[in-house]
Amino acid sequence: MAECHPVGFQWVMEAKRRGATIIHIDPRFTRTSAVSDIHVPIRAGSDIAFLGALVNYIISNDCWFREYVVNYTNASALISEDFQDTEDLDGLFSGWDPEKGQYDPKSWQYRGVEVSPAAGHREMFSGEPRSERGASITAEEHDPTLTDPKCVFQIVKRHYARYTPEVVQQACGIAPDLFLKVARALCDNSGLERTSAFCYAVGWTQHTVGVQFIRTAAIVQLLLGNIGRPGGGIMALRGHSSIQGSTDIPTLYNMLPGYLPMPKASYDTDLEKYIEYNRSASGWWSEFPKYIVSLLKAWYGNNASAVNDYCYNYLPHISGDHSHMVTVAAMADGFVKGYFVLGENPAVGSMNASLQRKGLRKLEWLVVRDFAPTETAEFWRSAPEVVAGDVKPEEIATEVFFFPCAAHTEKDGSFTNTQRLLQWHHKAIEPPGDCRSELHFVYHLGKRLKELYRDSPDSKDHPIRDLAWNYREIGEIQEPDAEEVLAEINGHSLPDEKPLSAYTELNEDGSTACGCWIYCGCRKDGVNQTARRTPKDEQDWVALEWGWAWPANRRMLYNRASADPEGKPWSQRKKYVWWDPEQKKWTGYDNPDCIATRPPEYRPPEGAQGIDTLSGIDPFIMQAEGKGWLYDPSGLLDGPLPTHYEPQESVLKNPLYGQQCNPARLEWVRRDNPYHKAWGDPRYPFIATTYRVTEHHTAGGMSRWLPWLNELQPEMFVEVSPELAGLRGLENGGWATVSTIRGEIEARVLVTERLQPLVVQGQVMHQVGIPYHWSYVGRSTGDAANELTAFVADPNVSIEESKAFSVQIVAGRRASRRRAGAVGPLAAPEPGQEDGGEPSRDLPEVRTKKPATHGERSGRQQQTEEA
Amino acid sequence: MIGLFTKQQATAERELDPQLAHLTGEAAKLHVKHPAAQQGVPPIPLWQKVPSQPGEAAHQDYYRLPLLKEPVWIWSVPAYFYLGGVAGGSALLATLAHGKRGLKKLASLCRGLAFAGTTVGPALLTYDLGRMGRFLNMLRVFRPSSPMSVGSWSLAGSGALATLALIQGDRPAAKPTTRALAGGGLVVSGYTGVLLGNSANPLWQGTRLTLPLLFTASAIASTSALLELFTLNRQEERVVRRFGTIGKIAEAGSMALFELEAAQNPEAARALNRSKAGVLWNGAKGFLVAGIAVSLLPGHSVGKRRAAGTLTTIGALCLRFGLLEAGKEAVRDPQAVIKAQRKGDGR
Amino acid sequence: MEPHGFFTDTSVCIGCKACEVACKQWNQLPADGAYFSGRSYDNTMHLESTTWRHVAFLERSRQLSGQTTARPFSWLFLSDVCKHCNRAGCLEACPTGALVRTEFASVYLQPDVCNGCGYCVVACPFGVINRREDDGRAWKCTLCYDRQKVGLEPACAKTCPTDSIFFGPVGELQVRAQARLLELHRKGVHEARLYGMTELDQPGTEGLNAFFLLLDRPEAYNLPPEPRVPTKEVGRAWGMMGLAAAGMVAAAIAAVRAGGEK
Ligand SMILES: Nc1nc2c(c(=O)[nH]1)N[C@H]1C(S)=C(S)[C@@H](COP(=O)(O)OP(=O)(O)OC[C@H]3O[C@@H](n4cnc5c(=O)[nH]c(N)nc54)[C@H](O)[C@@H]3O)O[C@H]1N2
Ligand SMILES: Nc1nc2c(c(=O)[nH]1)N[C@H]1C(S)=C(S)[C@@H](COP(=O)(O)OP(=O)(O)OC[C@H]3O[C@@H](n4cnc5c(=O)[nH]c(N)nc54)[C@H](O)[C@@H]3O)O[C@H]1N2
Ligand code: SF4
Ligand code: SF4
Ligand code: SF4
Ligand code: SF4
Ligand code: SF4
Ligand SMILES: [Mo]
Repeated sequence: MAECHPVGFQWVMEAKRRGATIIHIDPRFTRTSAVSDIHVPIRAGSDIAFLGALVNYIISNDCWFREYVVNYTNASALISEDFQDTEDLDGLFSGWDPEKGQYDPKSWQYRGVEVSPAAGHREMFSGEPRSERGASITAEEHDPTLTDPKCVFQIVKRHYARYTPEVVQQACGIAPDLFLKVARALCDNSGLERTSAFCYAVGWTQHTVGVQFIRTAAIVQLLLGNIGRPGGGIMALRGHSSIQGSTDIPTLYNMLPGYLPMPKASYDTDLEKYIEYNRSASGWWSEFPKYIVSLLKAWYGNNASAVNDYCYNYLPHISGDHSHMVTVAAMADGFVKGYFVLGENPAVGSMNASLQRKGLRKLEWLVVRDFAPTETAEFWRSAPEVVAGDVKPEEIATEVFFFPCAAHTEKDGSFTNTQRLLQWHHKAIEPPGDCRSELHFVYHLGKRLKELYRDSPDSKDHPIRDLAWNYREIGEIQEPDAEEVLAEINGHSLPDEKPLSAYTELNEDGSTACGCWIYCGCRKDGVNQTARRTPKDEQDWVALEWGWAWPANRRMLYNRASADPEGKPWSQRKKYVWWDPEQKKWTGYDNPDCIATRPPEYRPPEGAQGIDTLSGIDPFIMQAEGKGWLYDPSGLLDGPLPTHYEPQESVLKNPLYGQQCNPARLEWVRRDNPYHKAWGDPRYPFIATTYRVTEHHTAGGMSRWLPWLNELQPEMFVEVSPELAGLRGLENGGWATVSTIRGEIEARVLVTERLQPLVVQGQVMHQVGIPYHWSYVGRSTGDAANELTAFVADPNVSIEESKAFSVQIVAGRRASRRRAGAVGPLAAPEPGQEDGGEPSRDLPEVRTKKPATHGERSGRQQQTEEA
Repeated sequence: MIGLFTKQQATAERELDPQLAHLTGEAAKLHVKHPAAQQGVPPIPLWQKVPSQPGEAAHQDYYRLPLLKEPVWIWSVPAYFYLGGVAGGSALLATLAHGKRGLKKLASLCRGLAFAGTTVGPALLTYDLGRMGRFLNMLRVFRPSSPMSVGSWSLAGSGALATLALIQGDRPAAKPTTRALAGGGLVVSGYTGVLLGNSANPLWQGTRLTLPLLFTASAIASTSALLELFTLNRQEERVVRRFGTIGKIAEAGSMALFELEAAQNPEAARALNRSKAGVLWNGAKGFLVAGIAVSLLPGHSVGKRRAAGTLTTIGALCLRFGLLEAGKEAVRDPQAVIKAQRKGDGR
Repeated sequence: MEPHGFFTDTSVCIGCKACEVACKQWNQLPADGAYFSGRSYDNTMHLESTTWRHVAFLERSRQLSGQTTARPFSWLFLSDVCKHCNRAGCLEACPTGALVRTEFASVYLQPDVCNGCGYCVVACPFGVINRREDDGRAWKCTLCYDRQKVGLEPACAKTCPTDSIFFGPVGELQVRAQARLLELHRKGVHEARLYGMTELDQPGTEGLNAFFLLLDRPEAYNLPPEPRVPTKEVGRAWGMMGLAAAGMVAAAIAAVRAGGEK
């Protein structure tokens, strides 16, 4: 965190000054470790074993917060009799379909009811949609004593029973006493009077089990009662300045603003169906219709009416998985014509760089908007395969359009940061020359398209023709007024066009328009709430007048949990929101995250519907039954409970189960994306992890051009332990070549004790640290780490696995002429597979899994094997 | 076009588009002729050991990087040291020889040398300045705490006096001028030792007591050695020889004392025998000894005198250049600073 | 004006180098060249004429008290800067008066006066100030004199996310530093020590306006253990020069006599 979020880290240092214990769990000793109280070196990719052991420790040592767990989590819920755990199936859950290579989550459900998951990803492509989920949530079966063997608590307990400190040693290479020290510190600091927080970023997400890493942390925090209370929580430290904003108002292919799912072509055929499949009968998502109708009113204005389904059918309907790697693979196979790259540099940042560039070579056109021509814009000119002469620029047909963009100082707009805080930034100067903001580009492009289709009789052009697309244009460069866009996002009533002040004002009858329901209120009373900057000494510590947080300017989600079931604060020290019996409403430092007037004693009557199903003790209002989920009955594609699986390419056999890797992971089995042996590949004996350093930013487009940063970190380097250096004859400051079957790179060597070999199962394991900032254009250039990585992903969110894979490292520089990217494997076939046998990805149970089954899941057979 | 080019120079390595921005920060007017982007050999060699395991001298210093800055002076400074010494010695001789009948030529020669030394000297010093045009700023203030300030004023004063003395010639009225000049000369020949001693440089600071001796003694030797190259009458020759003998012995003695004092800080003293500094310092010793040896040879030939004078002059030059080089060399070993201070010898 | 300076608390420094960049940015200092040094994450290596803030990175195969790691190891950072010494070698040596003491007690170099004589370079006991070859003048930290004059705190301190660099009136800084030292000692971090805070700590400089809290011996961070301003020692050298001059006069008299008599 000190490395990548130094400014946020000031609060960690502040907490340390006040006596907090800082624990850092990372394969490497980083700048964060340097100032932490405890540093735990962990084998990359093994965190579930570690966190699972924490769960086991908490339960078996009775450190869990009983009253919190019983009342606020789904610990007492009874699970379907059909459910079978990984304990029973050697690493698989019930419902696995080896043919399809995916789970049927039916047997994971609560007994008797079916619930839909909270916001976000809604079992995108797993089978038929089911309607009216959770309709009879009040009929859910419970065992408040938590003793029924089929209740969530007992299932969790059994599932993690085998995650002992010894297993931590076997899987993570962490000595039991170090593990116990962490476990004790965490438990001692959780309870009535104290809370602990978890912070994570991509060290946890970029794995084929990334989502489950975070789920495990959620289980730990729920058991300890650390969620919804001040000083607790799980903090996702995000990357780019408004990356949170770009999921709220998404740049993701499968979502509409406010986490409404994108309509599916196959079954969301009209608004009614769409609502039926996506609304939840209970919990807050029962309000779903209000949000989609208001969104459509915002987008299609007067053209949207009840008669025409509010133009619902104008929305794009997705027919499959269009996530990044799927698209690039399709690009490489020639199925994609054009590609917009706005503020991204995938030729450096994306996995398997040579495959990425192969994709770019097959496009008809490419638009890049950036400050300077990045690697993505220059792939046809200076990529390694072009320099090597294997690919000739004149043979690349892609037409590249480069547009210079305006920097954030040159445009108005808002950032949504990691804690959901919207902060407005004002333009300081006009953008120079032809530089324009994204808003300008998209708006004027839209205007031209509308002009083009104005008289088009073709119905496919109507969605653009009918779009409400009117913003004030300011100044000579006709910059659209960003605040008008914010006003549209905030929403207004119809037809009087009064700004709305909260999402609770939204209606499903077309009388409100709102561009993103969770942002409703950010321009309350027509005042730009996100631009508020009241100094800290002019307000209390929650600082509700600094910027504006969604939803409803609430600074902490699920904060009802900061009070006990009766609505009284758990402790004076940790009081945050509480029930005021005098006023008969919820009050506190923050805006309570519950129905303000619903007393703690309220219990939903039999057959209650919608938000009436939320009882007075339900803090997690976005969940169908208002409880925090220890166990996930629905919503995840790779199992209801986090389970330790090895990375796609590991040096180890899974020490816990016969099932080696996450069975549901996404693979791209194709010649230009070969994988290593699943474990113990003698050609690639070391673990590699990639990461950032403070001195540079991501793919380098913003940092490798600056001499002030380049002098601080001038060259691509790799970090190795003195032991590995000794083994491989590497010298500090010298050169090394790191390779995978997909590519090889050279880099300077930093030999440092910040990396250390781990002893796992009696074997000494070495880890190689590889920063990923460098590539072939800019003022500081070097080989790109992503020449090494593979297309392989977590099934839930399609995130790549760049944090743990296997590599070879040797002393010296690589051959000056590099093999052209993406022409096939660099090395001989996997040992034992020379005769073309089955690759050894998984151990027997799912051996028959067909390549690219995620394509099937996407509802359409994806062409991923090279023609 | 040219304008833009200069503008680009001005913003080099600061990455501001000269079309759009102009620099106003403290270092805005800093000249950058050598953009850092030039590739090449790193100015400081790569560190090849494991940072946390530096080996033998574990954690004694910071990657063996110099703790202090090397003196930035170039060749003209030691050359000036030499000339200053000669000027000082000559000024003194000129005063004492003034009006003495048999020493007329010597006196006039010395006046000439004093003049040359005090006028070429400042030119050499100016040549070393980073901003030559601002050499007059030396006389902007008088700072008694700064030997360089004291020296500059003395040099300036001596220069004026030497000029006056040259004009006045051997007129009796010149007596006070030459007296004053001699006073100035004494400072000019010795302050340079104080100047070096008044530094944080471990070698120079550690030898600050003997450095003035060394510079003064060598001033005598240098003056006489130079005079030995000229044709003089017997009486004058005797003066020069006697002056030279004392000077050379004094120089040899103070070099020995200097080495003794330097040896208090062995890490710094090592610089006297290392690389370029070692060659120069040992050269200085060798030439001095050779000079003494030659002058001890029997006979009074012109050749012998000239040989001795040349050898001693070379030795005196080596001494000055050697001292500067040794000063540079000494800071390359951070232990020269650390050990001495740890012992409490830094004071 | 009260003396203002820095208390740099290395125990909270995270080595982010923001201070180094902020200084270059505010003062528009050029980069010094991109060279990989092999010295941990330190690639700028020292304070320079165009690097007025420098962050040092010490890797040690030794534990820091109070920290738990899997093997004995610690990583220390220090953001170094001109110390703005109470007795400043550079200032006392400067023959032109380019170096002056400001109303904030900092040592400021007036670039329009400096003639590049290079004397300050050898006179600074911390190896801070240097002459830039192509520019010809000496340069060093100004303690952001320009910012202080308009009531702003120096750019480096403003930027430091963890307040490792703390700017303020020196008296207040000293109180703060003492408290911090006590707190660290109470927590068992016995290695913590103050460097150069007062004349008592560092008689050779009579105390620094930019002082430090260190977690190892000063020399491990490339700081001199007991720096002394050269002028403190120079009196006797002048004496020796007087003596030598007397000797020289005597020698000359003897020589002239010798010549005259024969
Ligand atoms: N200076 C700087 N700051 C940045 C960025 C930048 O490029 N430069 N990028 C921004 C962006 S886009 C993002 S997403 C964030 C990312 O912020 P971080 O997630 O903090 O970034 P990384 O350095 O990629 O990874 C963090 C750490 O994860 C460790 N790690 C690797 N594998 C594992 C594992 O299996 N388990 C555990 N526990 N740790 C592991 C790595 O050693 C590394 O130290 O940073 C943002 N901030
Ligand atoms: N091996 C490995 N690979 C990784 C990661 C890893 O940890 N390991 N991390 C991954 C992560 S978390 C991320 S986020 C990605 C990052 O990868 P990318 O997002 O591809 O990389 P960036 O360099 O951040 O690209 C952002 C570009 O936007 C430009 N830009 C900045 N502001 C604007 C603007 O206002 N408008 C426009 N149009 N452009 C602008 C910048 O100049 C820059 O070139 O990399 C991923 N790749
Ligand atoms: S770059 Fe920006 S977002 Fe990242 S730490 Fe610095 S200030 Fe924060
Ligand atoms: S540290 Fe050096 S440059 Fe700074 S004031 Fe002290 S003597 Fe001068
Ligand atoms: S270089 Fe400049 S600042 Fe340094 S002593 Fe000389 S004149 Fe003064
Ligand atoms: S005080 Fe100003 S000049 Fe000095 S280091 Fe800090 S930013 Fe640079
Ligand atoms: S900005 Fe602060 S925390 Fe960062 S390196 Fe500088 S002193 Fe340390
Ligand atoms: Mo990111």
